[in-house]
Amino acid sequence: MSLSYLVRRLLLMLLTIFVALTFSFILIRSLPGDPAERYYGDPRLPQEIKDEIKASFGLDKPVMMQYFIFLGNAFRGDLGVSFTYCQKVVPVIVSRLPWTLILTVIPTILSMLVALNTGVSDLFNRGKFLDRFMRFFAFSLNAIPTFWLALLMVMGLGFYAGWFPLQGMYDPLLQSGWQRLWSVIQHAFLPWLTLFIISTPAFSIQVRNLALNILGEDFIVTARAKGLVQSEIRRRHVLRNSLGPLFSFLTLRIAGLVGGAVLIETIFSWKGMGLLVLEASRNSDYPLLQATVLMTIVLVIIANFSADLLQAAFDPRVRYG
Amino acid sequence: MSGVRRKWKAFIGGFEGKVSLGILSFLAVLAVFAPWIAPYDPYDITQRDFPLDPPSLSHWLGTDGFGVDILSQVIYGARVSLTIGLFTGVGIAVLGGLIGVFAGTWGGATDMLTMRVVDFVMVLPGLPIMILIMTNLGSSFWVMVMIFVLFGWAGIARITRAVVLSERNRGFVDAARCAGAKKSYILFKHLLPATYSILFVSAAFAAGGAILAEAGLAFLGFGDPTLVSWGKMLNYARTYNAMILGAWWWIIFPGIAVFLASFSILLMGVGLEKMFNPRLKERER
Amino acid sequence: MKRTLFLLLLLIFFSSLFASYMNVAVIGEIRSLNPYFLNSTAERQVIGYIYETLLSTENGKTVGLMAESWEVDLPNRVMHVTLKDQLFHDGKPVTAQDVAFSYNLTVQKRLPMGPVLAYFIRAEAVSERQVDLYFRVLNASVLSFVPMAIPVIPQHLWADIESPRDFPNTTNPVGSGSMMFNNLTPQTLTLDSFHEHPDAPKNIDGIVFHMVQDETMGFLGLVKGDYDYLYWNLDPSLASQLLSNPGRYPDIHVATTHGESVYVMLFNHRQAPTSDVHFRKAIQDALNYPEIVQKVFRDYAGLPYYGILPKTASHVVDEALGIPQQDLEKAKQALAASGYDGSTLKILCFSSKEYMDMGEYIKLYLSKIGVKVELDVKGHESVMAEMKKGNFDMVLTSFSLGFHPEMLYYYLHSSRGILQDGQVSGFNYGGYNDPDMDAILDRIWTTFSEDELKESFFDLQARIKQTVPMLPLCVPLQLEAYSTRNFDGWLVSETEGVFNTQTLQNVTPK
Repeated sequence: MSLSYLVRRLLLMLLTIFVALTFSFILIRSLPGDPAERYYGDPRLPQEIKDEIKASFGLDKPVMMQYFIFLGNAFRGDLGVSFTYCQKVVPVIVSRLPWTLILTVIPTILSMLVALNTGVSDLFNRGKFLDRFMRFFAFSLNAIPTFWLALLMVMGLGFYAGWFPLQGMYDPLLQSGWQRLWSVIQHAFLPWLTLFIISTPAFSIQVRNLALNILGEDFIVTARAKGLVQSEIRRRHVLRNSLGPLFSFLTLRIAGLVGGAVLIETIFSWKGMGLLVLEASRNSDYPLLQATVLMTIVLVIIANFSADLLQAAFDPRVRYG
Repeated sequence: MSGVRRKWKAFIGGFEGKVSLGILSFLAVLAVFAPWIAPYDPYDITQRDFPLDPPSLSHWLGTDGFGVDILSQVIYGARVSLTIGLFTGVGIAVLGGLIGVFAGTWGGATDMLTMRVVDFVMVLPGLPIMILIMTNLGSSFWVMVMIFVLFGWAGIARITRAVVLSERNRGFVDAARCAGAKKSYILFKHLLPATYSILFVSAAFAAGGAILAEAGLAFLGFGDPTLVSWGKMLNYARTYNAMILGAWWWIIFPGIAVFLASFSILLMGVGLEKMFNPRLKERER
Repeated sequence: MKRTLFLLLLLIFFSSLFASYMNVAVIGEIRSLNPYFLNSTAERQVIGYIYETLLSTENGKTVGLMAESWEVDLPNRVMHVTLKDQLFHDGKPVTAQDVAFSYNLTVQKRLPMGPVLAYFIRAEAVSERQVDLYFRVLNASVLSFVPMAIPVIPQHLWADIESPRDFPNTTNPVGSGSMMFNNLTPQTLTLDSFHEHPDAPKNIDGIVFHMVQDETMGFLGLVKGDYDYLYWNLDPSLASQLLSNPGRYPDIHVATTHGESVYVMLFNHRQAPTSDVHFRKAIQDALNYPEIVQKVFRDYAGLPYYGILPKTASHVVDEALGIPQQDLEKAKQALAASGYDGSTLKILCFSSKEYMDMGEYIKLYLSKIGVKVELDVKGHESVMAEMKKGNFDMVLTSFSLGFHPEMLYYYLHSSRGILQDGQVSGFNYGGYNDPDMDAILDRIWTTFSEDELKESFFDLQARIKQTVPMLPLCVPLQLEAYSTRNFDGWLVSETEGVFNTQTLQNVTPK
């Protein structure tokens, strides 16, 4: 991979993160209400004490100075103190991050794998009834509201059938590591299933379109002329060539995935970053809310960057373009 | 003119066109004529019955935990969902289309700057930021429309710009310029109309997405508190323990409604796509 | 030697197996155990077991908690407190230095306890067991805001904390309360019974608090036997379900006790027509209170008294004043006397279902006497903002008056309702201004004798009935669900519900 490509993408990523920081600062400051009001908003407080508290938050300085202080702190990894956790915000977010990743990354990878398989194989049954039905079915799944599907899962498989636990991430009373791991898997199964059902159709349709494009290319005709069998063509050419653009499609979905995790985490009481945003909002915990949104943006940017790298790894057209 | 008519006939003749228009018109009728169709008025506090009644003759879809008829709520809820879909779709198409076309036509620095902004907006995770904004600005209907449009215009801007760029290099544009036509004339007479097809399709997909997004936000508690909406029904169902109390009808029916609405609009989008781009249809063979 | 050790280990092992902990579900998260920074309901609920305050309240009466006795020197604005003989959870004794440290910390570090910063100057340890508290302003409410609010923390553990604001106190919180900290996980908090404390649970080893996300999960856990008590106000539909199907839920019980918060309608006294007492009386007589109780609260609410104070403030409530009743004729007459011009008024309302439904019924009743109103529904923050600006005709809100009836001072005294620079100076959002009422409230403020206090409160309630500064709507009942599957000995108190000190001391595992 060309070094210039890598450097270019890296610089772009840093620039975008910087813009995200500025954007979130503007967003919080421009919304009505004072971020620190809960500390000095009591009408009984004498004015001097109010001013003192304001100053301790740096709110007495001009806005530009506050902006630079904010940037400086951000680069040192300090995004403020959460009202509700009484701790620095960053450790709180970092402790919840892995749970969101567990929740979203695994079904997404599975989705992509399954989509690659079905998307490519359906192809060769073009025109038959089964293919049209499968595509229609996949398309309908896209239109189901995520949270409703999750609710139905909880209701059906969790509550009425009793096969899966209804909420949480693991049984808190278990002690050993292996028991805990199994418990996490049990609790994660329904959310994984929901996310999988939601993501796979979109990926499959995308893969199918890509594959159709590829099949129309000249080199496929050459391959057939060379006497390659269908399955060979499938494996060698179609699959490899659709991986690259698929990662490009993934970047479009990542933002939605990280955001959409909020709904799933709410229903399954999965204590990840999505639920953190919701709780921070309900508690008017502005430092936490701002920092979580900011870190979600940064997470998405990094994920996109990784997906771009993966795309370049699989698609030569990109990395030398 | 006849070209359009032919395409329209193709659309209606097709499977997607028939099904989507059918469902949509049914929902639209429900929404527009709600006061006459709905058996009860969900906004009228005197028309409440026994709470948590299962579906029966007097309440076809049962009643919710407050005694309000669910069928009537589903019918009135169509108003919120369809209008939010409509305004969002139109808003996104107009805003995104205009920006995309301007960027494509003017080129140069404006174009580059606009595309950077588009890239940035597309990278933003929608839901958390929407929650952040709605925490402070409240969750009224118009705030929601505004937020959806603010997040949705970027994708369409990029697509329309691509269309404009490819159209710009066609022969007739150079011909027009030779004849002395101004940039704005070329813009409005040639480039803009070329984007109409893609705008319609994108608007349809955006509308479908908006319906799902509204349901999600209302479910989380960020819906307009004064309006009956399907997402809010599901929020109440969860908060007021529908599951434990065995009120499956409170959970199932509003969800089906959201599904039908978004499904029909998305299907319409697919149908429009096929109508404007007949080559896609050939791939079916 | 080895054998003894082995037997000892076996003993510990078995005793831990038989260690009986009660399982209580709380809604929300327990993220920090810093008593100065409590955010969620769950945190407020559990902190009271770990940390204590000097004074507390019982049915509207002030009682000593850590204070053996206290003396109020009103002219000099000093309070002399003598402490009980107590220990912290780590075995060290509670001294006057600890108390003084705890009080001074609030002021020094500008911790967010508004009334303390406003009214309290400093604390001084006079001897091993005596503390003097110096106030800038001293009256009855200051008692509830300062000595009932400030937790007593051990100086030897907190002296080095630079910034309490980012100290979650989750590793080793040491207080003097009836239960001590054992363990905190993202999903549970375990407290052990601290046997040195007189109120400590005797027959159980401790309580495990489970953080659940919503009522549904808590209820399911209760039915399954995972939880013994749900530490929140039960949804009336669930309560109905439980009470009407006892066979299906054999071990589950619902304790019904009088609530301590009152739903009220506030008026804007700065403009017509709400500034006219005839108009307010017309509204009071137009409402159908039993119907609101039945339709909005499923009968799980009590009718209000004219004097607003609920039954829970049993020490000072005047029940003889009676209950408002709907009388449409009387209402119409009062309306005519008020000179109401027929314009449409706005009722500001929170966006929760109970408030919106109440608002709709009120709108209905008012239309029957010819008063036109519109509901202005907003989110919590927005409603508070509008109230603070005095920007409303009427508001539906609720006040917690059962345990702190003296709070009425803040809601009714004219000095607390001055509109200045677009903000109301206190909690008297409507700007109610009545010199007679002010006089009664001032008396309540500066009385520390039981009998005089009761008399003043009676005068207060009578005046409220006469002038209707705000309108009481109903008093929601407190509904608690508990299970007798694992534990026996639950005692329901008239005013405190089922999860009270007596229950904790009495409850035994089955």
